[in-house]
Amino acid sequence: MSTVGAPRIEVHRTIRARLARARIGDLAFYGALVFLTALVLAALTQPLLVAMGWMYSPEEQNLLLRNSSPGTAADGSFHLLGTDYLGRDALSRIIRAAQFSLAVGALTVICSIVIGVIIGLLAGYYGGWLESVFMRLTDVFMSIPGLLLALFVLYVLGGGFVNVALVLALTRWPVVARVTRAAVLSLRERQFVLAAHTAGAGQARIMFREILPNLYPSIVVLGTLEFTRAMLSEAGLSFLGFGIRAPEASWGLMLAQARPYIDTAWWLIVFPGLSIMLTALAVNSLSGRVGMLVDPQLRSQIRHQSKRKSPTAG
Amino acid sequence: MNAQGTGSTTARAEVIGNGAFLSIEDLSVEIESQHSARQLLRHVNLHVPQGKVLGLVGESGSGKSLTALAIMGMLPTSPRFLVDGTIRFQGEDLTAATQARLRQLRGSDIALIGQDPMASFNPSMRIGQQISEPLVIHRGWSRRQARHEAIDLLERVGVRQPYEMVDAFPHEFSGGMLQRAAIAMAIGTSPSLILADEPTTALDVSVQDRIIRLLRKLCDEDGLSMLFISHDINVVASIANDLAVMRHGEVLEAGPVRSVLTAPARDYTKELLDAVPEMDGPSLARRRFTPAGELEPRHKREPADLLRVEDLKVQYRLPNSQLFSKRYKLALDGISFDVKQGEILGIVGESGSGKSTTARSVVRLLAPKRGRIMFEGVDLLALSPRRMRRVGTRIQMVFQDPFSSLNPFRTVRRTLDAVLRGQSRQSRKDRDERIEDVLTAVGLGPEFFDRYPHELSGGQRQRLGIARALILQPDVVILDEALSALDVSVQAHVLDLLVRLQAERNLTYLFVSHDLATVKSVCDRVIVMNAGEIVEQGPTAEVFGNPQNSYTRLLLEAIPNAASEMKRLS
Amino acid sequence: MISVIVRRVLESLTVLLGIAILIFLIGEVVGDPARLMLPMDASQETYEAFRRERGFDRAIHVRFLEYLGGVVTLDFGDSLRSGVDAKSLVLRAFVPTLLLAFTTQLVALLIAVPVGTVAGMRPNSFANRLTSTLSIVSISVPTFWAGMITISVFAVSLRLLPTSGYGALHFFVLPTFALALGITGRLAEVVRASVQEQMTSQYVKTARAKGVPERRIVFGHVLRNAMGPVLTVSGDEFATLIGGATVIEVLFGWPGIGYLTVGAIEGRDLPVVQASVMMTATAIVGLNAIIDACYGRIDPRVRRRR
Repeated sequence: MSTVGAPRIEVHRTIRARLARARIGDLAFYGALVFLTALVLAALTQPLLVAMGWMYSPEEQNLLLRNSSPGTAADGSFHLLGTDYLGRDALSRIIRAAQFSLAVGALTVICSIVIGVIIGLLAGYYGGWLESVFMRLTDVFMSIPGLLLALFVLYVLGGGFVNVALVLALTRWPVVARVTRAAVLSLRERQFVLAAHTAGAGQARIMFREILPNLYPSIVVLGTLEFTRAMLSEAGLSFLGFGIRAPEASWGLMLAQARPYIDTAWWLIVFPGLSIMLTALAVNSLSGRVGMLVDPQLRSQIRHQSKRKSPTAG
Repeated sequence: MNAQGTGSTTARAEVIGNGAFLSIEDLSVEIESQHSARQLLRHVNLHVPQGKVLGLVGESGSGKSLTALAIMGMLPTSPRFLVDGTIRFQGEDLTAATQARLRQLRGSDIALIGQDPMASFNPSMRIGQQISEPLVIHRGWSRRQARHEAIDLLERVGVRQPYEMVDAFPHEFSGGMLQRAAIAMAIGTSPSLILADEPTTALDVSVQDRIIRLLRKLCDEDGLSMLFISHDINVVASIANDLAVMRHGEVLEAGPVRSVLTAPARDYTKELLDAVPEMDGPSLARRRFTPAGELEPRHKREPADLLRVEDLKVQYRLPNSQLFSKRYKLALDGISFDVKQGEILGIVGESGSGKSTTARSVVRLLAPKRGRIMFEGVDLLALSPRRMRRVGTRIQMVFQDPFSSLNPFRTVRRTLDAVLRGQSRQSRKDRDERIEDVLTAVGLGPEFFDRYPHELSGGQRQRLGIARALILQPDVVILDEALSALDVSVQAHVLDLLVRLQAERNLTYLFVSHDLATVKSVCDRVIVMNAGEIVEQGPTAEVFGNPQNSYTRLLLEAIPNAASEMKRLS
Repeated sequence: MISVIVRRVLESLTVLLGIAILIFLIGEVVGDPARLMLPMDASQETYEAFRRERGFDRAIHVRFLEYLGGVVTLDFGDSLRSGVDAKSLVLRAFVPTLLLAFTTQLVALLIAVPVGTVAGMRPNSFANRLTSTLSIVSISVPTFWAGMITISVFAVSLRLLPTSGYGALHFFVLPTFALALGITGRLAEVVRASVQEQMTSQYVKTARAKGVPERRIVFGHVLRNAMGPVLTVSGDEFATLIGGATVIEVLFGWPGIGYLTVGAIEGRDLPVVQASVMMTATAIVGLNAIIDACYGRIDPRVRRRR
């Protein structure tokens, strides 16, 4: 047998390359999973770890050890990521900050998805004047640049954890609403929805039982992307001094506090930034896979793949 | 391997006589996925003599389109396809040709006409430019020269106003006109071989007829050779000289059309021929299932009008409505008809005739502008939404597309459960019982209950669609093109099922279809629709045997028909 | 055609009215304008006097109509700090912001379109995977952190470029890099996905069957059809940039919209904040209208439909 244009050996090579790539893909997936789990666990158990004496307290200052580089400090204590401008342990601060950054991201996403999905669902399903009003409303919000709107509202309301999340949700719900509406517009005409109508199902039942589940995969993917976006925005707002404020900790705030030492204490700039980036990267690389898991069709594809993969991989 | 029938010797003799033109010898194609190899074509032998048309018939997955791709050297590169055997075109083995050589042949010596004309044109490029592209590439013509040629070509294939249409975009064409343009694109460089892959499948019957005549004319005039691929043996019979039947990647039999049609050597070919309800034959399939005794309804009563549609008018708002003046398209222009208890009423017509609109109005998926829909003496249009939801369950619908008509997030059992739960309060046990009953009735065993729609075949999905319509125990079932998305042999099985269920459950069917042959074989009465109006109605035998309206006659004449073709040939 | 334009203009005006209402609601209903303008530690007497002097004690509808009149005539009042009228402050800040936005967008498109196209042409290639991976990495980097890192390397350690400020071309390098990083990643992924999708379409198969060379397929057929989503996303990114890449402007001391707004908020200068939000939004509404028009140029189907 001959192949079209290439000898058969090459076929095997491409297959093997693809398998190797698949494993690298899996590596990234599991790496992301492990990283996020570790981060969330550390953030949740930090008070306990500090109480047990396994970790420095994130609030404990030691002005003698200001801006110590990573490693053993002058008094013999060990600081893996160094200390900040008040002599606090940088690793402890980063984990403390993770609590806020992750919580802000999660709260923002929940709020913007709940608002966006409901409005997008109603607009797409009912159409007519309701749709016009809702879509003009999203136009209004989308025409004001998100960060500018967020700054304006925070100026009026003041900063803080809940306000930051609400404000960010305010700037992002229109995106969710538009995506939802577009999906509903095409689902609404699908024959299974028509079939539900003829079977006498009510409007609410059709919207929430027939249409909504079909949106789950895209909502999950969008949700994870929006999570990282919210986290990055929070970092920006805190950096500017309008988000989480001292003495609380946030990765953006840590970077702002490190700015005067940009030429002397590189670790104060590198590690908080790296924390933001790695968290965002981990969530982004999980998004596609998690989206697949809520879709029965893709789910069974994965199942078949792993079934076929096992004999050779083992 | 010698799967060819008796005809192959004659075909081969002709080939040799004319100097071998296209001959595929012992072609095998294998796809190598990650861990297994799958044979897609097995030792295929096919011969297209100079100036002749070879028809290739098969159901989806039979490998007929793949054969065309292999000839063009256009098999996908990943996953990789392994090709064995030879494809000899004017003496040259194409399987050994380089990609550069194949590219040279494509569009100049070998041309392809695809299935879906709307998808095969670039939406953002003017038609003339696309038609003349092969001339620019292969002949090095200037754009101006090529544009003139494009106009000539459009005129030749019968596109009206070619001077204007040459600068139009694909979306400004109708489906039939676009397929003509696709033909123009194929013949511009005067190729010697045309591969037509289901060129008429997406078209209406009358349009299909015209396209086939055009292709036949071109073949005769220019001495073109053609490989004509279709799932419809009737269509193939109306154009081809020779016929080959494919299944599961193998050629089952091949030979002159006449010998294959009159004396099929293989059971599968017979099955294909049987599955197509003949227009001329008296094969009223439903009679098989209704022995004389059972025809009587259980509680004897006059067959009364169960459903009565009066002066129904429906209009759509056009998307390009102006700001202050909304524009409408009239979809139904005051139609009236009635349906009697226990009968099968056929509604036929081409796309845009209003037959689906009629069906959807009856189940109130659309809001008619005017008219009445009387069901057992109650006007459905006057009912409150709440009462309509109750009464409406007695009129159910089976949809056309077995893919989009099922919620991909629900298993078989939960699809039906959702219907029951939306309607009445029953215990879980009662619901499960009803679900199992109806699934058994449509022929889906317990092994299917927990599968998702994508784990079912097309026919199984449509069975589930029927089960969903029946589970509320309706009186009227509307079948909206319920068979048209299925393979021919599957169609036959599902049709049998529908006819049996109708007799067993004393159902009334509204059978909406573009397939006149099927309508003729199962319907008691028939309505012919055109442009939102009913042009003719009456008992099936009368309408089909002695059509009064010119449009009905036109429709009937346009149907390609293997049986009458056989008569013509013999 | 005219009715299409009229409808689009009416739509834009509705949106602008909505924006004006939203800004009024946030600034003068949710918030108390007098409190927002006065220093935090102002006494109750100062507050009362200020309210009367500025007319904030009047009924809400009177104030709204007055405010709306101001918006229509672009009169947002004078800056509390500099005394200059807010409109001219904002207009002045637009210039650096627009310059930075244009360079950033240009750099991003110049990289993203070729890279995305090459990757999209070959669905299973290494280039394809690499593009996706790099894109995910680049959108995960906080822009201002990228800015800080580049400042510490190129400005502080190597002393090649200025740490901050606005002026000749070399001032543009670092902020443009920081901003373009994420945008390039996002755009490249959009281009890749869009080209890849088009490459599997039926008309590409037709073109191949006509013997059209692969390169001509990409440049003659695919790219134009693939540009729709790219245009939409670049429009969104550009809109964000017009709004001032706030954090980057502050980090680099770039005297644009974001810098102005942050300064105005810190100085409790409500008229300037309102002016900058309102005028930026107006610019974006205009931009969206232009993008819609471009969409019609790309896709003839839209042209006909609208």
